[in-house]
Amino acid sequence: MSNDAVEELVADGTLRRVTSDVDGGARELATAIQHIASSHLVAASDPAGALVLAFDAARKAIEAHMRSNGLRVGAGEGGHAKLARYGVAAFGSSPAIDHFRMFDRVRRVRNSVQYDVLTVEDADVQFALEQAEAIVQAVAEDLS
Amino acid sequence: MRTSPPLLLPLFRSRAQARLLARIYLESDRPAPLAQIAAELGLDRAGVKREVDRLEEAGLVTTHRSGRQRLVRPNPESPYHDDLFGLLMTAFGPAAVVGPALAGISGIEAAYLFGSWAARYSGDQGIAPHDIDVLVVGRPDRGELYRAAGALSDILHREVNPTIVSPERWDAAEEGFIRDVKSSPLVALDLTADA
Repeated sequence: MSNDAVEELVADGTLRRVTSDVDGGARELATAIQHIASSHLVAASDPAGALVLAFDAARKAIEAHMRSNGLRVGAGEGGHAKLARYGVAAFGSSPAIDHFRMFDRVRRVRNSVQYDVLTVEDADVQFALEQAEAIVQAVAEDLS
Repeated sequence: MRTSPPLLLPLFRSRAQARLLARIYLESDRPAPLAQIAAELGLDRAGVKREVDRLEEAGLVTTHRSGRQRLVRPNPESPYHDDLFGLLMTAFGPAAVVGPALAGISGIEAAYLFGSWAARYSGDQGIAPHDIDVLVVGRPDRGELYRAAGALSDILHREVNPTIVSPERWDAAEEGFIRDVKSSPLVALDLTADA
């Protein structure tokens, strides 16, 4: 999947072109699906772990999509934020676009948990899982 | 009205003048008598009257009497109106527009601006704010709140970042982050206004 919005991210250096790796993308997507299942399993006992797993599931799904389409994030800081911009650009016309927009919010919550040691509330985990599941499904459908 | 220039945009003569203009321009849907505006902004009445007189002479605002009260509004005929509105919105908008935007979201008990924007707004020196940090106390629908934050980011030309904490966590203040927020400059948001 490529479009003008993705091409703009390549042009401004947010992304760079690499050789397409469809098998690697499929493996990464499979890992994302496992993370979703794991997140559900630990949600009640370990909400912080569940949130990180849900974030990683969404992140790896978007990365899988990039990998399959021959793209990586460009050099420099803010790799996850660049990934978020790719998701919004690549899925701009998808019914799941709102979930790709919300990935950046999940990223920020995950960062506040990692760096400010904020307590994770159940609603944060549920929200992250909802976004991750929709993102994984949208990527899986597009790559199938 | 003798206050130092506003740190958020030190083009204005004083913080008081900037806040007065922001109140008049950014909340023009609820024009108020001068005495009420003075009370809201914590400024003295005579100073507000002098400042409004100056702004009216310059054509930036208009006033009219309603009974014994004098109401002040932005003057849309002023050639500076649109540009001044834009400057005020970008620099001082968060205090005026974030509260009303959150008012319609159920589950929010209180909301505050914190971080570098709130610090500069409160007169604490430091680097220019990049993002607008909003502390939301309650149990709002995450998606609804984040969508509202996205819309506010477009209006304010800065990323609006909500952090949500339950009322129990806020009251207990056992987390370092919450203690830090509570001890730093906060701007309480009015959640009673309509969006």
